[in-house]
Amino acid sequence: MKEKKDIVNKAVDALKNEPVPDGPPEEAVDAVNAKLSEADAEVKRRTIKERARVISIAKAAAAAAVIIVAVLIGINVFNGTPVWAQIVQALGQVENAYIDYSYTLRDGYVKRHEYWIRRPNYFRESLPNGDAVIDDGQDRLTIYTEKKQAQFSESWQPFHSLDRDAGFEMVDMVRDENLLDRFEIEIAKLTSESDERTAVYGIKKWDDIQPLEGKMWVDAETLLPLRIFLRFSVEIADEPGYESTVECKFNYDPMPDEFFSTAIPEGFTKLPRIEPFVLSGTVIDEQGQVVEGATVLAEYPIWDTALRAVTNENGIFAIRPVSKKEKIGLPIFLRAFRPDEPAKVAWTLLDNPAYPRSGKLGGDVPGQPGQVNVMSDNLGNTICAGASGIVLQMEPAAEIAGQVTDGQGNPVADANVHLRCRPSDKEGDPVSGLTLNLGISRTDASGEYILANVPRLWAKCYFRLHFIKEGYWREHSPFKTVGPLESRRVDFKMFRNDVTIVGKAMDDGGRPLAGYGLVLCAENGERRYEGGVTDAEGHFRLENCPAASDLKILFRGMYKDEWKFNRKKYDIAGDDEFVYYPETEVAVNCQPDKKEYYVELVLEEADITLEVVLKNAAGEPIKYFSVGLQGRGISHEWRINELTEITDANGRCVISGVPNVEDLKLRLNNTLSGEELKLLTQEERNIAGANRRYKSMRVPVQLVPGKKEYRIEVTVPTEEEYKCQK
Amino acid sequence: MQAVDWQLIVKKHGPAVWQTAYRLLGNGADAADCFQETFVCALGVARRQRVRNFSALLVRLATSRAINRLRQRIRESRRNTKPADWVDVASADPGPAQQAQGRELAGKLRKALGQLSPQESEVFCLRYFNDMSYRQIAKELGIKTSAAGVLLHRARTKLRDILERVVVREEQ
Repeated sequence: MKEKKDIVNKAVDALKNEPVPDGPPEEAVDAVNAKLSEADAEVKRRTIKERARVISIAKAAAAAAVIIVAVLIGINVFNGTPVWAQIVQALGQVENAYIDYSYTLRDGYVKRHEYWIRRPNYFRESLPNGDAVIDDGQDRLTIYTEKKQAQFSESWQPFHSLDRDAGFEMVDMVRDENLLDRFEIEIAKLTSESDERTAVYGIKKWDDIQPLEGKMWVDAETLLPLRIFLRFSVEIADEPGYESTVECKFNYDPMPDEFFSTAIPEGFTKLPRIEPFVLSGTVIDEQGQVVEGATVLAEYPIWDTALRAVTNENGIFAIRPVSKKEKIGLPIFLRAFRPDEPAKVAWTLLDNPAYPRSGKLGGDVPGQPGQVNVMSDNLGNTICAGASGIVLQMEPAAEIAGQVTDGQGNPVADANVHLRCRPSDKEGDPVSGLTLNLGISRTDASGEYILANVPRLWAKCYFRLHFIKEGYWREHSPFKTVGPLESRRVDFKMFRNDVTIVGKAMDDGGRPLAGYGLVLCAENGERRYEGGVTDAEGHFRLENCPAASDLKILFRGMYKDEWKFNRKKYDIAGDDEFVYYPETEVAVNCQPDKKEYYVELVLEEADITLEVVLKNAAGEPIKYFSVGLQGRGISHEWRINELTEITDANGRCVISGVPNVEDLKLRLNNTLSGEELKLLTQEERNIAGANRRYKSMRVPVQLVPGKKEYRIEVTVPTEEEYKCQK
Repeated sequence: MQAVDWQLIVKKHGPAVWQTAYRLLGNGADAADCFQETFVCALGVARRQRVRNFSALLVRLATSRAINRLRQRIRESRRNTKPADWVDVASADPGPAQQAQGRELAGKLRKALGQLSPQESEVFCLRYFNDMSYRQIAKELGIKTSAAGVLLHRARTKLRDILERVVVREEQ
């Protein structure tokens, strides 16, 4: 074995020792510089900035048409100017534009939209289902052809410029600057197909992600596009891709005024005008009687504050946004209660009717959302254009109370207490993108707080009580419900954030450990606080640390990229010499009067090597079996990235860089991960697949002080053998 | 797009790219071609994404281009009745016997590297000729660190077999 190993090392040494003449030769450098300047100049002509600028010009023009043209960005030069720039310029001077836009769906079904645009703000769209929309910048008329109904609302244009109305699939793709960066489209004039009146361009994009090809027909005189046809492949992760086509036909003839008339067609019923951005409805009690004087709060998860209204004598409320241009996102959480009835609450969720979450939720949403009107803004976000006919019905509520004290047991007055919840779905997992604010309270002089009128929701919801006070660590207490939320008492301890900890992390050779994450923790790691990162010299300074008597610093032993805390990613330079270390805790032992501490962390280098040989009961080697390591302080990332190997054809593997930690065990897994399988040939995978008959097991590793190299032979039983032994 | 001073990049990293290319290819003409290809390819990469570590990117590209050339040589030598004489190019200057032996072994290693899969060769070269850590290799090739380790292990095993076969054949 040693001889075999040597020949590779010898060859490597031989190659490394071969003299390499000084270089590069000047002529090679000159050739490279010339080539790079040439290529770089070409690239600079089509920077994203320039592309983005043209797209913004397009917004001001008959933009729907421009957007399709924008696909051709950065491509060809015509009289010293990119073709698309001239096309955009020409479109900018067009008053009327008609676009017939069709695209094929996955199943081959063709969807067709027609757009009529007259600058500055007339717009009409014919939808695939036959409905029509006319927007004149003041009013927006929707004509429901099949129902023979028509309804006015506010114009969308303040929120939603004309070009966004043309809901082309290509729009978002082209607008996305990140994608733009990847675009490498080539366009070449097809002289054989062009004539004096029409110039035809071939379009091609070679791209692993979404290759496309097509043609563009342009009026040779005016440079206005007449037709664009694109064919592209749609790739979907883990699913078979498909081909799709997009076709746009353009016409620039003047359009009669009647086209943009907002008169209701004959024989159509006029529905009540949608009152813009107002949420209105009724609050009723459990018996169905209207509730007067109930406070109604509307919250959209990303708002900081709720919009508020009070029901009148008929139980009716109307919540209006502070300003008319304020955007209300979806879903909206509506809650109603009377302060004098702490045990009652009414609530519901207003969601996008096209993509309701109610089906996904793990429990029923009470009340009725009424008629919710949605629209999309310029960024493509769905926003609520108003809702009417909402019904909120009172039901039993829960109450959460408790006391907040500091590290010494003294009550903390005037602390804000927020209750938030992530509802669960049918599987009991939190529903993504939905956090509900269930109430806010404040502690009194004795540190006591009460949160009343709390909706009980349903089982397995994830609640969090947040405690906030200046000068204290912002903390939270999480809890999960088994059934609907019951009234409960939650006492809490808050710590002043006035402790500073400085220190240094180094290895046992005195070398600084740079870029490692640190976390503060207390109560045996139950409570964790944001920490910091060691700098290039291994120093760290953690300010505003909680003054907890059992405070510890947890050295994560992982590089900053691999851990996140409070969604923050730390970023420092110098990752070249990164080495993993076990997670290590060091107690700070905060004293009531001491505010500054110095901590030194010395970590032992992981330099143990394990040679592992796996055999079956018959003494045959077990090939392509996953061998990993676990132990106290070994992070998941470390295990996955460096401490897992696959046995070779001799049933052997070597794991180096193993730390000296407690409870060190080999993790023998009979199934390889997807990543590991990728490394094997088909034949090897077949062999690895047969390993499932063996038992996955954990094998303790006994480390001896001072010993750095170990050979471990493990006889792995089959599942059957294991059962017999048992 | 990232603004890049290419002249500065070539000046700063050119020698490392040259060393990488020359060491693997063993002759100036091929190394010069590889040198040029590497920078043009890096330009393409810089157009598509922000490059944080030009040194690592260029070394990786140079290694990959050089391995492509090695593989191309293997293919050519299989097509031609007379094997390509590229191994000899490196040993144009006769020297002491030990040095000549080393050169011969180096040539064999070049040839053997051309017979591995591109990814295996790349991992091997980055580890042993550019002294990159597993983590750096993984980062550059977009694979997991453990995968880099496994590829390296496989590369070593295959190289050992190839080199031993050659040595045994010659001894016979």
